[in-house]
Amino acid sequence: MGNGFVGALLVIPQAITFAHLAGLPPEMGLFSAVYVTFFACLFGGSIILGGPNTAVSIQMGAALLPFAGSGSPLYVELAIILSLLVGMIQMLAWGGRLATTFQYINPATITGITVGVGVLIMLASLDPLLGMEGFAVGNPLAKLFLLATAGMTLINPYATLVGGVTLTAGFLARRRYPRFFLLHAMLAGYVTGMIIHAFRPQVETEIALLGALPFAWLPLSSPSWQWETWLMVPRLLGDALAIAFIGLAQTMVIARQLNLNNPGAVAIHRETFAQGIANLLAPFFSSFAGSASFNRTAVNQAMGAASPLTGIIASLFVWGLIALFGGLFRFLPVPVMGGMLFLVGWGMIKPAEIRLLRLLKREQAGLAVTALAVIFLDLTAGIVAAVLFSLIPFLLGAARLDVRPVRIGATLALEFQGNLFFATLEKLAATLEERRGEAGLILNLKQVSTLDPAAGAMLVREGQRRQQLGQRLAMFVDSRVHHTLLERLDPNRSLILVGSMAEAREAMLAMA
Amino acid sequence: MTRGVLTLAALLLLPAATGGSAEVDPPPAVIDHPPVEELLTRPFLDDHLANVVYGFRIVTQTGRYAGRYAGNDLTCANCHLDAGRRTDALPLNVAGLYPKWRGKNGRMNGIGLRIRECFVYSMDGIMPPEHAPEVMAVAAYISYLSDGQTVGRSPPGRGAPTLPDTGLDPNPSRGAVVYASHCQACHGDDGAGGETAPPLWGVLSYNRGAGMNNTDKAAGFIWANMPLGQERTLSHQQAQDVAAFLHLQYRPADPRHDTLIKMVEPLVKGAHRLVRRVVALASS
Repeated sequence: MGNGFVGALLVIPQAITFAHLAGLPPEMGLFSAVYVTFFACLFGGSIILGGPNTAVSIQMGAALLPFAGSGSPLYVELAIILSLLVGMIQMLAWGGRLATTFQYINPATITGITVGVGVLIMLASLDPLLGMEGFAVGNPLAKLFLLATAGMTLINPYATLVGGVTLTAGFLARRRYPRFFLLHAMLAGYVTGMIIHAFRPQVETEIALLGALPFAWLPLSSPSWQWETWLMVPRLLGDALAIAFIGLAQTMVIARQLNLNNPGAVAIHRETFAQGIANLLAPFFSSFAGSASFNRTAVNQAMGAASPLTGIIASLFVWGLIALFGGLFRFLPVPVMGGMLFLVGWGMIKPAEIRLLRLLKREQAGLAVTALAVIFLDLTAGIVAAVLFSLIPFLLGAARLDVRPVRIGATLALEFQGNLFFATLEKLAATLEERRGEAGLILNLKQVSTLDPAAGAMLVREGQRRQQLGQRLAMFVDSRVHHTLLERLDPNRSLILVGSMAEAREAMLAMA
Repeated sequence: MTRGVLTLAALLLLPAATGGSAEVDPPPAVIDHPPVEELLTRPFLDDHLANVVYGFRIVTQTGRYAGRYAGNDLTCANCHLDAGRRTDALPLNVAGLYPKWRGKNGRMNGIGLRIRECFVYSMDGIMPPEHAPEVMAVAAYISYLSDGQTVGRSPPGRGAPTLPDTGLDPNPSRGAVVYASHCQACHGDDGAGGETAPPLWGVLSYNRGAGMNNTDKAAGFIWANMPLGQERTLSHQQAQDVAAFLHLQYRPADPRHDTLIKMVEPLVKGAHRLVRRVVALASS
């Protein structure tokens, strides 16, 4: 019960703030905190706590802003459809058992994405923090330049005061209360706002306030079924993929950490299903997509939670707290949310983790490239960079071709190990070139797992060349597929295809 | 299209026809968009029209669609009658007059700031941020209504009429009599409104900073539009008397001056709403 209460207390400021980040009304964040958390816990069966999430929210904002004004009716409709798409993609990932592929993603690149998103969130937080609502400059450099050159005319001093107090309180409280400092920061900012408004009316300060939260116990909603709206799906699909990926990636990182401490604590496929179904159901409860949350899960774990019941109770407590104290949020200054966002973004950059990676050159490069891609391009680019960096070791492994020469009497046998495909053609050509002098050559392809038509054609050309010179080329091919492929490529039968090394030797002797 | 060309031609030719005189009546407003009621029936609307419809909904059902910033039981359409489309009843087709300087806040006002101030005074709520979706939607609706108006020219029937000097001071005690005979049936004996009429005073009505709190403006509005369905039946003096009577009643404080009182008022409002709900439950 106590755990649930603390969880609810922590999620409320985050839910409101992340909804703001996504450009959605705050109550949608709260509904997500209730329903997405509830469904994810109900179906997940682990202590992972989900709900509105930083990276997901910022990407939703970036995805939808080109199509509709932030928070406008069309925007909310598209947000709901985007959540539905994310849920569908995650369900497909569950159906395809793709959760295991996330273990091939380099954790350093995930750290890079987190750092990039942290910087993006800090930059995004400057607008509400300094009272520059609606000052929408996407490019981080342009934004910093504008702030540096024309900052004094752009910022609202009252809002900056409230935001500054929030930030200071947050950084001071961080040391003593590493888990609850957001609450301290919010409280300090709230009180500052009240004190300012006791002396100066809001019409004068123009500090944006959150406003009343229209709360409903069961905020049923439905995605728009108009085909015009669904025409947008192809244009949202890329972002939906990115959001689904980043949501699942974070969930899997948390699952990995939990499983390290307590093997078998999280069933990853079940967790994927839970995230998918929670996001798929979100659009029917006025909620938007979410994902597992690092810090809330950490708090949940630290408080000694052992079952998904805590998460379910937490989501119920959100209801209760909002029903009782929701009225207070009416006067929550938006700069306070900016301050909290800044603190959240700051917390996403963990120097210890980055310092550890500094020891490894390639990991460090992966981190830097993904972080820079996220900051200067977008999250999708960061994900592409992460996937590419994670693929590098596999690519290097796949493009390896080992050749072991074995002399059998007068003939030379070359044992190939690796893959014969477009990436290893160069090595294959060099090897064959080197052995041009041999009268008889056996290629042992038993250990070759991939043979593509390009490599096959090269082998056939070599066979034809040797045939013209009166030399022979025998090949030991074990795989049925490779055998057929070589036969098709070689209508003149210039290659001697054999099924065993003994046959190969016989063929050589016959030729001699 | 042809109409547009003709209008353009007329515009070009008019100065020539009248000898280049500056005093030219504008061509009648050409409005070639469907009324909002038709938009409401459409299954899909683009970003702009969706905002227009959202704005219309905010104007007609403020508590439901802009409850985030509104603080009382009024809707915009309670004063901007027929959702801001009736002349002499503060019509909303005024986008062409903004931005303009207003003495109320002593600065240039865009249509956005004007809308935001309505939320502070007439709706007795909080000032929405500059780019709040609600503000954008109402601005879209106002622009939609202003279609065809000449920029910078006051549209016919703007605001409410200014009543002539009757030679007598407004008298609130006579106004109370007028209220009892003409207004009370709909607005209630405690001014709290009812099913069909908005509250005229009390914690859930407009505050001391609202334009309607100005006796002259209120008198003009009342004379031209009240009682609903029997407009212009009151005499000028009766309208001024009842406006003076309204001015004497309790209403929320002016947010520009009474900042501390404004902090307590939400509690009073909450208590008021709670008591009202309990009473309604008990009586039903």
